[in-house]
Amino acid sequence: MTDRRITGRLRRLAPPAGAALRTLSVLCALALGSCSEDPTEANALHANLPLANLVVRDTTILSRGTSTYRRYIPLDGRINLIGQTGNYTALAPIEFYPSYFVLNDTARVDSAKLKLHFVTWFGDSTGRLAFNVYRITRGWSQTRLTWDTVQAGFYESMVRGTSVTGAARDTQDVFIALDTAMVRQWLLTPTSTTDTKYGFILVPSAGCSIVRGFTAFDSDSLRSQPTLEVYTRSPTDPSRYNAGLDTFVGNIDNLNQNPQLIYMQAGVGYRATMDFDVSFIPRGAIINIATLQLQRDPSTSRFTRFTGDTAFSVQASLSPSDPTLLDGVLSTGRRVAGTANTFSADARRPVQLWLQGSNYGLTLRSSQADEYSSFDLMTFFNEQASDTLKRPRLKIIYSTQR
Amino acid sequence: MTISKKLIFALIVLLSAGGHRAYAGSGGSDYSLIGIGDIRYTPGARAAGMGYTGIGLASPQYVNGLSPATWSTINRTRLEATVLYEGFNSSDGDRSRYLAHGNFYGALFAIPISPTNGIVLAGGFLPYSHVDYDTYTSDTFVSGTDTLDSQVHHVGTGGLNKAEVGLSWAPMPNIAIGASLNYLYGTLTNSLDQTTTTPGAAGGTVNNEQTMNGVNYTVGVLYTGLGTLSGALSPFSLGVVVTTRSNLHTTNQTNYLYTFEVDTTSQGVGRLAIPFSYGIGIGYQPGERWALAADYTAQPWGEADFQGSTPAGMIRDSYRLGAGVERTGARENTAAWLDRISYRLGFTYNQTYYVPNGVPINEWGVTAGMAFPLSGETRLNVAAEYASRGTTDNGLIKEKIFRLTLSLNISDLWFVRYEED
Repeated sequence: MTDRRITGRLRRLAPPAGAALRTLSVLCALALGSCSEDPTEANALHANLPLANLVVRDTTILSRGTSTYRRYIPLDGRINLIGQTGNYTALAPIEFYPSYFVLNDTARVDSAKLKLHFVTWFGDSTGRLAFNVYRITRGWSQTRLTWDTVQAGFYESMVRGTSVTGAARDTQDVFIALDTAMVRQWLLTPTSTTDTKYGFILVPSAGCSIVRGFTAFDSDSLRSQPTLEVYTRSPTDPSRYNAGLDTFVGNIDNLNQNPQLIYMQAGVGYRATMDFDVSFIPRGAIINIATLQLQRDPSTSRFTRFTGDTAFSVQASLSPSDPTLLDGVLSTGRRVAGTANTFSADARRPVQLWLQGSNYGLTLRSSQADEYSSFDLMTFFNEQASDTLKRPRLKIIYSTQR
Repeated sequence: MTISKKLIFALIVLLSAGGHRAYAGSGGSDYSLIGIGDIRYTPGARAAGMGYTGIGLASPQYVNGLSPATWSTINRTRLEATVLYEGFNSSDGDRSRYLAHGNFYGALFAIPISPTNGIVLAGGFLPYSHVDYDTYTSDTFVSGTDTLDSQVHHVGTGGLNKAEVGLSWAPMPNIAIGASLNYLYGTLTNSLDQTTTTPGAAGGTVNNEQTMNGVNYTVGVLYTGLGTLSGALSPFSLGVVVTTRSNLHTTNQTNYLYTFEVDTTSQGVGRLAIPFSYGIGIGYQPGERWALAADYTAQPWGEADFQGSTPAGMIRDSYRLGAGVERTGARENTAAWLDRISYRLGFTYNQTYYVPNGVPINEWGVTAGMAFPLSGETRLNVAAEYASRGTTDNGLIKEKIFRLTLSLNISDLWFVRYEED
């Protein structure tokens, strides 16, 4: 029976009785509906009841194992490196989108210049940046190209351009004359599979003693993007192109020589792994605080004046065999205020994941901005450090059900 | 729509709604975190107005939830649906608050199969226990190097329901027996939500959900033949009811909600044994207009089994005493309307099964009720109770409780063969 029917029946009762019932209903509704509060922390009662409460504990544990591994990674950063210094080498492939070229099978290319906008350097600032230009022989992707995939037949041996400069200024536009035959081929209607439009690669040449960084196509400033200027005796000369693919691949061999250190080398793909045993913390514990503490080795770490932030990234490793399989959520490790070489990072999420059963440790890497655009190197003492105070440690505060 | 169609519709609604309990309101008693929460005593609005009595008191107008033997006098198909408003004015000595909620409080139907033999089929859904607590604790953890300030919000909801179906039978004019099969089911949810104000620290939430189900049986006997011993005893009736122990199968699952991710434990199984209960009641009906009743019911909760153990120091054997009186409304349509209203009063004392930290929690209450005739056999029943339980001593809570029970009792003639047929 609906409320409306009940109300209707009440209305049909004898007038005084119906009025009395209706009045009673209204009074009840007012009395019951108006005086109830919401439970809040402010009005919560403090009673000694057997609540299933939480117990907070803390612990600090040392790393039980670390390692440094090199895995060449696609870089594709906002700054591309080219050059050579010490054992560091960087090659930079560039491809202007073929579809953007104005095709002209009869065009005569008088000259073609590549403009690069250099903004950083690494190595000896008085050194010499020398590199050659070679034509790339196959298709490539800036999100997949790595150091080991540019080695075998990736580019021709014929030099298509040469540049020799220095690092007189931090910011500098450099123009490189390109082989006009190569550029003319880019303007032709494709008729043969031997006609390649895969761009070119900048490879350091003999005498190069510095690495410089130039801004990539995805620079916000049009003026800073790599630009191709083509002169074809046209009234609209020069034709300018500034859209395409670019990246760099870098390498240094035998970096991790000190057994007391872990290495995070940007621009190549040296990363560190670190393992902690948290099996004593019960599953279901709330990780309130988990702080990874590391001591940097300033004597082997390498930064430049262009290093924006001496930070690194911490992620949970998700596979015991594939070190590149990492958790999508990362935290940033930074220098602890008031210290010179003590760094810390939030590790709550990794520890919380480990409690669910799969503990494949942490992966430490240069911060993303650096890793894809520089040769910065961060080294930290590992669990074999002779000074035990410098060994990696994890401080955890957690809550478990009583 | 005829009464019969209304009843069929109401029965369908009742059966389809049996698995649900609609909760609305801000909260209940913090004591309900103990055991399986507040044990419900759901006799119907009539008995609620009479101090929760009626084991020994049968009435053809009401489906008595206390004893299946009392159904034997029902001569019309009946359906009674009940809602409960319950408010708790709780105090710990320093602070107080008023929390309240409204619940669907069950429904019972009864279909007389053979009224002359007292054979009545009855059943329905009733609440069995109710968990509804909401409180906070705070903690400051201090170690040699760190501090963590945290608050934990404790919330518990849910409860057990009882679906029952049974029969009554009167093998002799003065004796009626009844039995019901009761299926207990429900979910208790407890959550801990930890928050922290410490910079760089995170909290989390632990939600534990315990689902349970099981069966028990209720057998009742009603004897109205005391008049054969002495004429002065003829208004008296005597009732006894026993409900068996119920072993509930439980499944337990915990969900963890952290800042960044969620974790769920695998489902665990267990058991929870609710002890048997028994009750005895006396009814006294000197005439058509007056009825008095007194009941005693008990349940040895010390024999409960919560996953293999009894929460020592938290629960104890419980019992309830009640007494009540009813002035039944006149049945004649020509009577004055106020005279057609039934009036009820009662008193109840409940030694609850709560004994937190060894401190017994007892409850007493006074009840009053009325039954308003709407049309024909349809009644709107109202029962109000003011009760008090607990203490602020030993860091506990004193609660002043207001309960308002409303039920609608409708009826129709089914399966009843008239003489002229």
